[in-house]
Amino acid sequence: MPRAGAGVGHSREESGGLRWAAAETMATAMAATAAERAVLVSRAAGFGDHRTDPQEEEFRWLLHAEVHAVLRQLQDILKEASLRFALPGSGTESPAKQENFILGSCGTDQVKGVLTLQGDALSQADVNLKMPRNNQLLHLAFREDKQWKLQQIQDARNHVSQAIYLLAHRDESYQFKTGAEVLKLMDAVMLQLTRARNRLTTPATLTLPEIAASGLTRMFAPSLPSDLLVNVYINLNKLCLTVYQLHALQPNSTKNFRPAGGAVLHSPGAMFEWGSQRLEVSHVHKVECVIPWLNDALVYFTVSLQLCQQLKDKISVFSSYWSYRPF
Amino acid sequence: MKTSLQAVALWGKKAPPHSISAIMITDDQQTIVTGSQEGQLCLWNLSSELQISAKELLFGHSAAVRCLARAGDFSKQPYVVSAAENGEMCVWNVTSGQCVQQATLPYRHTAICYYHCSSRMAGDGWLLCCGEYQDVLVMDARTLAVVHALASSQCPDWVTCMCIVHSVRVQEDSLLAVTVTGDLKVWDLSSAINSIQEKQDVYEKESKFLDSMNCQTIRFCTYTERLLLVVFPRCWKVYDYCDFSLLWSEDSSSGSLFAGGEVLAAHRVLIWTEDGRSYIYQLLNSGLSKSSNPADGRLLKETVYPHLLCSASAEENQSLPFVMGYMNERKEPFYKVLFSGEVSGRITLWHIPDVPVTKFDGSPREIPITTTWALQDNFDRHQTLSQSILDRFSGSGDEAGAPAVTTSEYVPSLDRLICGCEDGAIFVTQALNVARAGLLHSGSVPDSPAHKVLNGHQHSVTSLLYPHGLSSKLDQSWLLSGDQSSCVILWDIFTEELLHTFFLEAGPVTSLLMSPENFRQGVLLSPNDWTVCCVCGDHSVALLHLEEKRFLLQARKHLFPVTAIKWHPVENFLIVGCADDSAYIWEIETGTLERHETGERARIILNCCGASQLLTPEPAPSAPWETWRHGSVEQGLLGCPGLQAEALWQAAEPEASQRPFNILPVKTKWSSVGFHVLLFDLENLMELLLPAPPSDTGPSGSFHGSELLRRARSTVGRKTLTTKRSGAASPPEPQAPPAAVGPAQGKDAITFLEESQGIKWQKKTKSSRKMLPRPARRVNTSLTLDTAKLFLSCLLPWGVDPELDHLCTRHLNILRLQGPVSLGLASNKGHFSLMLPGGDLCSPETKTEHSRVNLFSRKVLDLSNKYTATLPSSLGTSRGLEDDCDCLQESNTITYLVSRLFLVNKLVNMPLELACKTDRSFKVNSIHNKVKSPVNDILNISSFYGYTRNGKTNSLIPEADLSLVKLISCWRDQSVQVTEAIQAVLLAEVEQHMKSLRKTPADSCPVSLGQTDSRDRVPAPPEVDRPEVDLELQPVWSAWQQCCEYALRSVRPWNPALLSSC
Repeated sequence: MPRAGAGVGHSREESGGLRWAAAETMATAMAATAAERAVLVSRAAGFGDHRTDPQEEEFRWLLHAEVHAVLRQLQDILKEASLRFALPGSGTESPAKQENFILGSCGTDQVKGVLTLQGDALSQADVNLKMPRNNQLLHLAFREDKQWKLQQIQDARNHVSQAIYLLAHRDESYQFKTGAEVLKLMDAVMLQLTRARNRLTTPATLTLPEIAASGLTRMFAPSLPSDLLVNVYINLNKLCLTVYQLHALQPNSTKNFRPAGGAVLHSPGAMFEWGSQRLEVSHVHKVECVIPWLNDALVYFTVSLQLCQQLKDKISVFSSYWSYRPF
Repeated sequence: MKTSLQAVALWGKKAPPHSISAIMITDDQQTIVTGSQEGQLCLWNLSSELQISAKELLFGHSAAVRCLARAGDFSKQPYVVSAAENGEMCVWNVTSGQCVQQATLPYRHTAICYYHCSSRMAGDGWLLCCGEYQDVLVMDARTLAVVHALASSQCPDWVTCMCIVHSVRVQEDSLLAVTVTGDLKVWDLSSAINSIQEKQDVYEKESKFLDSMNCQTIRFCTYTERLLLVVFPRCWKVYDYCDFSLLWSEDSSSGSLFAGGEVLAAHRVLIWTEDGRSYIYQLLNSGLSKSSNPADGRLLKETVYPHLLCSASAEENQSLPFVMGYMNERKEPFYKVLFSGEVSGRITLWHIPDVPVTKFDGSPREIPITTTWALQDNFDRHQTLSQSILDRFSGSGDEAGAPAVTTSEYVPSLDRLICGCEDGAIFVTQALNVARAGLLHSGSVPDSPAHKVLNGHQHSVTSLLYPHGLSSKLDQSWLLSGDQSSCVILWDIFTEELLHTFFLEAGPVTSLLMSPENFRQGVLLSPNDWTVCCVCGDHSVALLHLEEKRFLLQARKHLFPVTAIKWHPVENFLIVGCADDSAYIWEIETGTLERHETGERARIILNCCGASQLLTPEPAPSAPWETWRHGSVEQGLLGCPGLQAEALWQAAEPEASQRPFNILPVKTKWSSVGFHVLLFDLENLMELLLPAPPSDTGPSGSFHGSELLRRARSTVGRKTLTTKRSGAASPPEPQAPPAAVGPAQGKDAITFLEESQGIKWQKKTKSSRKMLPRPARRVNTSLTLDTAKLFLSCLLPWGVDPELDHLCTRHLNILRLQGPVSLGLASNKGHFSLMLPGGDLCSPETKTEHSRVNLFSRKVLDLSNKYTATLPSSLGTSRGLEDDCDCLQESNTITYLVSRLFLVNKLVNMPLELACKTDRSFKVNSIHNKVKSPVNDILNISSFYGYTRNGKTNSLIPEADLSLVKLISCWRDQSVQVTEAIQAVLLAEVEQHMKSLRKTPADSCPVSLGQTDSRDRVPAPPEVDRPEVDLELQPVWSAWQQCCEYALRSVRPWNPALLSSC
């Protein structure tokens, strides 16, 4: 998979280059077709001979050769992306290998942790939390028998495999008959890829009661102290862990109680009601770690989305041509 | 969508694209339902001889339809649920074509199963859904609310397919579901019903890894209650249901992918592939042997192996993929049917023999195709009426020469339809005339109605913009058009002059947008300058300055389709959002790219512009938004509706409310095929037809009610009552100045000059808001009458009684239709159905009678007879006496008919709650003779409209009307469709009316009205009659207001949207 592989690690430059290339292709394509159309018009007027129509020939070439070349490339990139997600049944039959990620933040070292990722699931967690009040060290660990599915990774993986499935039967033996058919296919593939990418780039915005109610709080072996909340999510290429320290609001407190809405990361002072208690976030600790293969996957998504769009643009150049043909 | 809006579709020669993505046959085997990638549902009639014909298209989804399923016990409720790619769900009544319930949830479903356990569940049953989320959701089939979820304790993942297993032996239901990764999970449904209702966690009972991905179908063999058929893309497998041990696995031989399967009978399965082939296998018993799965080796197992009996395949050379299904009905009149839908909108049916056998030599037998039908066939077969909107205008007049319309725009203020054509010509025509020419019988309409052709484009016109429609401050002569080769031309629409041509050199101009109204350009532009924003095929955006006729900016670096454009007025930035979630910020003054952001930051930039009340191109709910949807949505990746009808429909609402007639151009995705929808607003039409309310309405008495009403109406963006009241404040005006009426009524060509003068005059008066309604009224009166006539033409069942037809044409000037019309039926906001050409011929009994045009169903005649029976016979004679003036009589009759239809429409569309109340009070009424309010409402309404019948008010509620209302309410309960009811009433009323004419043949109408030019009759001043009428109207009018007030009060708690129809 040489072409896409080159993009890894140089995402910005690569996409930048692609952008310029695309713009140039577009400009030339437009110019060419304008000229061709002039020829076409004169020919239609003069001879009425449609068989030697250069635009038709070009369009036919596009449908029969170029589309397949692009789809081949697209499939290669997506295969590579799906390998990153360790899709079961995609060649690697062994259980997904375990990876340890050491989480940290550039600021304080109040929270340190090691999370073990196995495919799309967190299998182990070791979090050390230095309580700011008494400098006591608190150790949090997952239960042995449980795994925590990272929904974002699972969804992204499933979307990619849907995209691959959509492309699965469109190899060289399949003949595209209309431009609209290619556009429809590309739209469907792009829909899946955009969703896959968005799943990773936009973590769920949760309210504090939702975090408190999530199964993650029940994952820990000595169960989580009642004044702590934990949330794990993916943001772009990073695995993020947030720990919220809470304190109860006095019922007669003069503070104006306003429950906080949903957010990816709540800030200290956010309030919520849990059970019969009113709680306030006193400290927020966020630690994160880059997952290299997520970075790769995101680059693959971007590259393949651009490929799809370019193919759509190429087809659209002939839109005046194909859309009037009977389906 | 208000219920008083009636729609008629003007289809083109080509069917709108319908790429079937989901298909099902209803339980009564009379309807095939398909869902398309464009976002519509299509209902196909399936006759008892297995003949197919498309019936109607259902609009409502704005994204591709993913799955369809039954949503109720079909014998009681013919409901089907559809789920779209963007999380929209709708429950449709497939007999009436109405949307019963809709919801948009953050879940995208790929499969839905209806589940109802009568012994343990109250209510309507559940929809078990799976899709792009973990595990299985349980939804309420009626309210579409999420009830609960079935969770899995091990490896939760997306579920791709499921089936409900009902075991007769143990009377237990369970749900089998297979995840993407191939985990088979079993939930016990029967025992979980209580836990689900109490929202306790329900986990799977069993789980088994099947070792294949992307499961397509899972089916339980109900005949043996032992076998389980599981279809994967590359293989299909048979499992033993008792212990989930693998009995057989068959790989795909031809390299095609399996798409589904079904159990035909004991040990007989049907498997189909993505490319439209299907195979029937007999599963033969191979006797006792070791299980094929070594892990289960502890037992000796029977294994099975398949033997191919029959195969079937669709026609060659088709596009992938096919969606197929199988319907197994053992009841007698039903067939075993295998059906498939294609991307091209074609349906193929195979009748599967009860006992499929091989040929004598043992080779598989080929099952022939029983029927095949495409949407286009409907259009080819029933081409009598559905003409392209421009066919009558092609300059040369020859049949083949009409160029295809590529884009069109309706300008309400001028009543003009502007059509851009494939060959570059732009036709500007009078909209009502186009509609008449398209619908009515040729010969009865002037041959070449007034039209203008703007020639200037060399290539197909791709977009149009009429700036004045977006802001009244703009020059109303301006028209902008963009073409395939990147030319944008500014026209003077009145003088047909080409004012300026812009060459963008950036591919086809996909959309033209107007900058927001109070867009200030600061340094560069004076406050009154306007810019037009062109989105082009290469995703570039160009800003054009209309007044100075120059380019401001051409932004060319976008890689993905443009989805949003925002102006930042203070810093003079143009912010362009693209489909890949990136944002480009352009400095307008220098034309340089200031910043390019992606991801979260881009989203923040785009959002913050909207949030801080800065200007966006879609601030107004009217046309800028509409045009914008054209461009963006078509290219947009997410949530892209195929046909933009829905958006247009909604966009048209505020406009439609102000005028009785409207034309909506509908574009289609992935193709150039488009069609037009004519909208008639019954309520508005009636208000315009009715004379002004009395001059001395006591303000104290009715002020409160009217105020309420006005407030209610303003919520729907309408100010009809203000119109009324301001009209009431002035003395009754003459019906219309002759100058304005003459041309329209005479159906002569109106010159643009005259029209534009009229409009200008009207525009001047626009400055004072109170003055506005009256001029509009004057200009429109005759136009309104014409609209009403066209509307009645569309509804009348022509050919039922030739004499009646003749009388209608002669005395009422209602002209005969060319052929059956395609009516639309709106169910609620954004959901409506459109009949397809030939859709009315579906029922076999009407098919035989060719002389009848436009009879919706046989039922109409019966209903009509019933209605006539309830009509008091005395009315006919009383009406016969009143005709002192032909013209007045004609318009009165038409007004009366329209008001009757409005009443019927209202009654049939009345919400259930109100209806129940009415029924109850009917009983009370009949027993105690005490008039309860809801009845009173209706009676007031009916008597109010009843006034128009003979120009006299009956302050007492006539007994007849009570019985009529009763009858119609009764129809509603019998689920008679609105269109049927309306047509029946119309037919009866017209018959009744004509009876009087027949009795007094030539004396009352001395001159044959139909033939001669009616121009001279038109200005006949109705003043003689008017004051008297108005005076007498007064009590009814205040009663009407009171009843409206009541209705508002009683209705508000349930449904504010309903107010529009009150």
